Amino acid sequence: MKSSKEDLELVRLYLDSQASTDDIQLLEQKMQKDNQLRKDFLAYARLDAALPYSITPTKKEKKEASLISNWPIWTSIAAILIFLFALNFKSVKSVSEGPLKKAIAHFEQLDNCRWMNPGHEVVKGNSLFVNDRIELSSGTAHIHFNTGAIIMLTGPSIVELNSPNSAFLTLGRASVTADTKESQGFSIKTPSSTFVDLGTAFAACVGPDGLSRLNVTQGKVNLIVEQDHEHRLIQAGEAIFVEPGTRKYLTKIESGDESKSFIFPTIHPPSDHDYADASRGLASVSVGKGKILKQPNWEVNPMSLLDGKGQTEPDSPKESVFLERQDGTYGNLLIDLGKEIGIDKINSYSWHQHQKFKDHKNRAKQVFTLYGLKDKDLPDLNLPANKTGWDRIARVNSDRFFDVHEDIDRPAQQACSIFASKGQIGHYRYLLIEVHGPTFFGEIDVFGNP
Amino acid sequence: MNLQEKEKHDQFLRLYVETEGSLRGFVRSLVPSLEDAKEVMQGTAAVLWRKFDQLDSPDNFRRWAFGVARFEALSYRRDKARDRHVFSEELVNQLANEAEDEVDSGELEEKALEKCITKLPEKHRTLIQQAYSKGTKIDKMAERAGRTPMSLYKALHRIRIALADCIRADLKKQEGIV
Repeated sequence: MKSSKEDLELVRLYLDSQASTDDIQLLEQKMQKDNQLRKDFLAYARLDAALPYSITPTKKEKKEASLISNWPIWTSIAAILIFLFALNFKSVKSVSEGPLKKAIAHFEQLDNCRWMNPGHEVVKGNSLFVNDRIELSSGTAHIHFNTGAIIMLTGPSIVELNSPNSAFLTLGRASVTADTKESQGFSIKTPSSTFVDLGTAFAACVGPDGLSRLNVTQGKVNLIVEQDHEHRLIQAGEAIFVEPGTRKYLTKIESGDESKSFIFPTIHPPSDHDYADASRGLASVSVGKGKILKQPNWEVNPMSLLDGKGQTEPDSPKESVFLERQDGTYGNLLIDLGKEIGIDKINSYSWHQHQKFKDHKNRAKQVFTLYGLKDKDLPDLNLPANKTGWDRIARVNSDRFFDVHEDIDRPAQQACSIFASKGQIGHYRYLLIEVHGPTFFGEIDVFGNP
Repeated sequence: MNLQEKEKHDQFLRLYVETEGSLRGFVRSLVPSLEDAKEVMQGTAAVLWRKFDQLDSPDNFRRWAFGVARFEALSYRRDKARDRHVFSEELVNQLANEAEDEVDSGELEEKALEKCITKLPEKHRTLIQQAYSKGTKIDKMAERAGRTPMSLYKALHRIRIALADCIRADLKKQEGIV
């Protein structure tokens, strides 16, 4: 923290409820004038608020199966659920039993499970019935269906058993193994899609932001996007995101071979045949808000994003469009397609690997929100796109996609492909990439037709 | 609960989960203690749920939630201000505006905090774990440890500053500044 020790001591006194009236008045006077002190005060307050939810239980506490959660958000979700329960919303039903109902599954294994409805006793072997809703706060629960399908539910998760061979995942993560004859066709529904097993193993995930994710680890899964009734076969090794909302957009992110050829498992390498390619002279790209990194002896032209190729080296700022973080944001990139066209697909590519430090590949990650706008007057690009009439198409966070916990886990070369579950993404003249991370973008391809 | 209520409940949970972390930090910055923050958060959640039908679009949940939290915190402070000195509304509003600008890095901060806690010396980690466990009173904790409450407050302060510095360094790394 950059503020003086004396000023930070005042902050401490205030947040530890030990400050006298004089202390508080002094802190107030100082904060009114000192931007840095306000910034440090807010950072300190955020830290103080997050600590109760971020501490890991001690060994002793673990043994006692303490109620302390190390997942900050979900501790309070449990509290909210209890709160809603108190308001007479009988939603905190984790497991129910009925003497006349026929069990369709049972808990085969429970590892360090905590339930959102505290006090509800759940033990290994408990039977499960149609319409049972399981709200797991933390830990892992293995649910064995009578058909032979097994769901490994990882908390925090909410799942409802719909039928003897299907379940609805509201939130969280469920890994499915369905390799028996009876379990073929086992399906996991999510708020935006249905994943139907075709004799295989897969993981389904629904994030708090409503994004559904499917990872196929073995065999094949039929992805059915709701409303569109569109089927898509997802093979082993593939993963896909499905955006919630009335129009269904799919996002695929893959790691590349880390060569200048940019080879990916299914996403094509950077193209010089897309609609927006600079060689065709139809589209342009510019910085709408923000600043591209430049040095006294070189400067990157954002048009290089349309030149049909990615970087030629793993750590090449001169060949990368990199928006610097300023005042808490990175800014945005505007693609003008010259006129409104029907857009089929948008691909983006990044590459970053420090030569010396193997875990330094931060700038490979792609974190952005993609928006589209029809052929009309451009709004002020300094204002947030979601407040100025842009249509949100997709949210991309490749770190979340690849489950990056340590820097070393992050793929150094990445491609992201955004398309619609059915037909085209839409008709737009402008595309806006609101950048939320330090990405070394090498190329952006826009496929479509006027 | 009928299907419509269940869908509403699930949608509320999804939106709340996404916002709750940054909202909690924001509220904490506006009220004097963690306990106050918990109370305000409870009040905020209650209002958000009660008025959830009035939300025009899920896209606006975050902004709406911050507005409700700010109002709840200010009301709470007005009640508290009867018997103790609190910041002026002018400063609170200034802090609130700046806190809203900071929310962009909320998720990154949480991840960084988790990493930074694991980097603490075991002694410090244990101290923080004990101090922030539910129901812990610093005076009692100090008594058990055979030290003065003030020395414990100061020790915790030093650890928090170390954590804050570690988080800042990690965020800079994530942002590609270093």
